[in-house]
Amino acid sequence: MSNSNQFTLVDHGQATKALAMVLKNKTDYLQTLAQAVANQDDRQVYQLINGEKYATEIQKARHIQADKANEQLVVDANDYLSDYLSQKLIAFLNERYPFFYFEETGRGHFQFYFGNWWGRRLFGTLDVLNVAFVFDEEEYQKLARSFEFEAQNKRLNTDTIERLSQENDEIKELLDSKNARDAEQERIRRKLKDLNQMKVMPWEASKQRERKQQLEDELNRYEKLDAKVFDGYQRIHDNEKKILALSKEDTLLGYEKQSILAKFGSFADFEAQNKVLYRDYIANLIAHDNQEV
Amino acid sequence: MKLETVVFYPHESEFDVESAGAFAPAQSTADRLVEYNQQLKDNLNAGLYFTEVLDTLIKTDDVNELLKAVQILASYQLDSSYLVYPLQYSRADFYLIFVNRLLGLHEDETIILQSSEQKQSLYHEFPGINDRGIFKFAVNPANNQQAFYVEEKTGLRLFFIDFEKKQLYFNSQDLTKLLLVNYRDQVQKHILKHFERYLVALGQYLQADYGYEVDFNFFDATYDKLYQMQTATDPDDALDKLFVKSSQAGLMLISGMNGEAVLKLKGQVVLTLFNKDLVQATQPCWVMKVDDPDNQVSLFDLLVDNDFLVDWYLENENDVQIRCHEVFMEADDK
Repeated sequence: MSNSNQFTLVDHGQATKALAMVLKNKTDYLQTLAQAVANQDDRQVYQLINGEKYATEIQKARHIQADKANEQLVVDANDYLSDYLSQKLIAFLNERYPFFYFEETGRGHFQFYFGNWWGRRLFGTLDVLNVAFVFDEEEYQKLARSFEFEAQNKRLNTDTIERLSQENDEIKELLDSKNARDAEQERIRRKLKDLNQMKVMPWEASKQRERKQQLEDELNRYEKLDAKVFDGYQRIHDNEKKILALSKEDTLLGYEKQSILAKFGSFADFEAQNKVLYRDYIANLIAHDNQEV
Repeated sequence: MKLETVVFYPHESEFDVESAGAFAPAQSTADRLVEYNQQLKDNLNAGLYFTEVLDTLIKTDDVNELLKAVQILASYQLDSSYLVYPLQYSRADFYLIFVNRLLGLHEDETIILQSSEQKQSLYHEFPGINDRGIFKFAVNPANNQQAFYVEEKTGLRLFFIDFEKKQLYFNSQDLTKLLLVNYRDQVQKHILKHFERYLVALGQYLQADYGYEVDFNFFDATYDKLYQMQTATDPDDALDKLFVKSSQAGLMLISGMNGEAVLKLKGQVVLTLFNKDLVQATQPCWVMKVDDPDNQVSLFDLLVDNDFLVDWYLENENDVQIRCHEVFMEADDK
């Protein structure tokens, strides 16, 4: 006997069908992805894992039919996807950005150096799934600034190096003249002693005080100079270390600038290229597919 | 270090000469005369023998006879209580003669044997270096088979030779001071290389003819030669300086896959600096290596050819200078 108070439930047959549909959609997605991988069709893989990005950047579509739910299915496989996609991408980047040197730090994770020269800088990481460089902000800013400095015909650290060198010259001079200063101080002290011992007429007292003050000021000035260089050798050494580090940085930046200019003509063009990297790369994959067909 | 050619003066010989008349007391006059005459004969014969050996040293075409002659002469005691030769060459002089004769036998006599009139002694002069350098041997007073080859004005010791143990070690530190510092703006580069060739040839002949153990140090151009640097730590600053200096010279110091520093120079010559004890390192052991297509180029050649490189080498000598055999260190302590 049926209980007429019960709600009417959905037909189980319907439910089964609906679930089967959903599951089929998912397996279809995964199968398509698996097939794309089997075919080494990286373009399709990119489309499948991020439909929205693909549609916006490549198809310039207005109505985006993103398949986010299905894309979620492979999120935990990102490292594997990245590892797989990296091969063709890095080959492409090696050609476009011959001065970047990529290193795999873990499955699907890549960092890159700028250049192959001594002391080259670690410049950032590669986001394979989004076809994008994630530049190290600090290093990138240095490079950007060094391009600005070029307009003034200077290197990034020219002024600092100059200042430190000058400081070192001054310290050296003060160190060199230490003996002369010592002798002079000794002379002044003796004079002061003489003055103190000298007996003068009352009306001469103020003049004597004035003279004493003068000598004491002079002595003070010398003492200040000595204090300035008491750690002179250490400071020269420290400055030299700083100068070396800055010269090295300038040399590195010089090579980086040259590399960018040789390949892109200007820093602006380099930056512009970076912005359209995804589209550029997918277009390259399409062009390759067409060639093969 | 003052170096004078040692000359044998009567009764002031380097050796203890037995004092005359110290014979057994109970001798008749006749016996004494006979004894005296015999001594004279022996001594004259010894002198004659000496001239024969000297003849050999001067004239022989046989490398083994040559070596034997110089060894005999180097320890020969010509003077005695009965017979004194006022004019004599020293051991150091015989060593110089030997060098010229050995080079001559190989038709490669590039050094000139000169005699100094005032001092009655010999010295070496090198064409192109001329009177800037007076080269002589300084014989070890404690062991006359050992000698340093010295530039007299500066006292710099260019190599050490041991005729008995058959060893020849070049002293890159003093060679650097003499050739790359003192002669830098005075002697043309190709002359410096000729001088290098002279020294290397000498080493090679000693090696080939007599089986000498030779440390050519930074003259060594063989392909697998590793020049060991002074430093016992990673020479980070020195490498950074080389990077900056190379760049200023229009060259690029490159970072290799295993942390080595690579500098490509003109003529397909490559200088590599690396830590050769990467694996079992308790402390790093940094070396330099020079590669060129014909294995003709030594580190010294690179230094001569590249001003920025020699500047760097001299400025960082505490770290990067090539290590020398300890025989040069011991003598420094004195």
